[in-house]
Amino acid sequence: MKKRRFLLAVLALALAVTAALPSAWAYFTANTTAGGGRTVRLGDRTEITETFANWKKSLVITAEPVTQPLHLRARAYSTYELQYSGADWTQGGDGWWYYNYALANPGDDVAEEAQPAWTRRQSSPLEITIRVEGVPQGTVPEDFDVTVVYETIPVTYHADGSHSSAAEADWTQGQRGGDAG
Amino acid sequence: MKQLRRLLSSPAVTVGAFALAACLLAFSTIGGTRAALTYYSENYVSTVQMHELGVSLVENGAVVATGNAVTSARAARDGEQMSALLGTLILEQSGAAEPASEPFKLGAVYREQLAVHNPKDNGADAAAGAANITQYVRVTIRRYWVKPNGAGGWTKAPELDPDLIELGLAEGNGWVEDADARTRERTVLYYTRPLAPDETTPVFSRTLRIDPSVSATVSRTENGGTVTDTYIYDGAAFQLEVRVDAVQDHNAADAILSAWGRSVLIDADGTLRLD
Repeated sequence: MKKRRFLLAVLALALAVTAALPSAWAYFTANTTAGGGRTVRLGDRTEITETFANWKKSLVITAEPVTQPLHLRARAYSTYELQYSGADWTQGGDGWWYYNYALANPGDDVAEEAQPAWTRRQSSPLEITIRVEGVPQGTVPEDFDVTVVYETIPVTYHADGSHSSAAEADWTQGQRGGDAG
Repeated sequence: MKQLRRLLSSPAVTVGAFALAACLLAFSTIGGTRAALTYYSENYVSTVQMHELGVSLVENGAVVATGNAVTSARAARDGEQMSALLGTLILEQSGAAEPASEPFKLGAVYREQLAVHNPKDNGADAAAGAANITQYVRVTIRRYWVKPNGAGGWTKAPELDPDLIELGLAEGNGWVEDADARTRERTVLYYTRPLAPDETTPVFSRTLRIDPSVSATVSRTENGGTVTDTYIYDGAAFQLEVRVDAVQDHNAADAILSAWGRSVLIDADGTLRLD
């Protein structure tokens, strides 16, 4: 009787194993996986330096470490007539002046010469001359107010890998700069 | 025994048992509630591979990964990482390789021609032996973002948009997408023709581009004359992951249903159609 029960148990086990075999062993399969990626670097810190002398404002914007390439534009608002000038600055026809290079600062451990040739760590000065009529020499009118505003926006690239220009940038994404009184 | 019966039939024990049952019922639902809050879960895959079958992933003309029974066993034993994609970035239009020092360019179109190869030499892996079986193949593509986790590793960032990782799929060249398996992160493609030994499929992707709008989401802080812009995607890394599955062509419909869990139809000329 014991022997019969043992045989039945072995038979049941064999049935269970053979029933599972087809799904486990019947088909040849293979697989492989590969993956990779790149880090996106964004982020910037910019600082505006403004000097005022002889009815002229001089504006310089500096990229702090670590700043990814940025386009830069600036303008001033005043009730007085303003005249702009500056090497490497281009009038946009929309009231803004666009810096011809991109601002970038990969960090102190990277020499400025090693940066792409189309980037600078500091802009050249944008000179804004204020024309004030009928005011005595050496005095400043009480309502005198010239506000300078600048904006930056990250550089993007064309499909061929070339960088966009400041004029091509989508400035509608919102102001990314600051102002100085 | 009589005391025990008296105790069990007392109202206090009945009320206590009822309260305990209510508590157990309430706690049993907490697990389900917590599970619903989980955004995604890891996949656990178990497979059995045979020496006679191998499959390779080809990136821009070069084999980047080969799978067979030997490589799978080795990977499981040694804890090997998956093979690397995007080792060299090539600009699609010029064909020029970007130096590793160059930052990844948002908006630029990079070449990412991916195909599947049936390796007759099993990836030149002598231990794996020759692969000599015609096969059907499918690829599972995953696009997602990861962020540094502060412990030197990376953590998946499901809140970042995988649609901004634009993989330009090749259409009309023998690959068909399984729309039922599509998610924002995952795309599953089946090659509709049997792949003979030493044969390579047409490419199933051509290009890779990161939408430059990743630079649009920003918060700004001002401190004196210094303006700091913080971007949501700054420091995040996009990830492209491709898994290739191969199965024997003999009795293919049943084999695919068994191995991949997908019902397909195989025409008399060997063409695979999704059921």
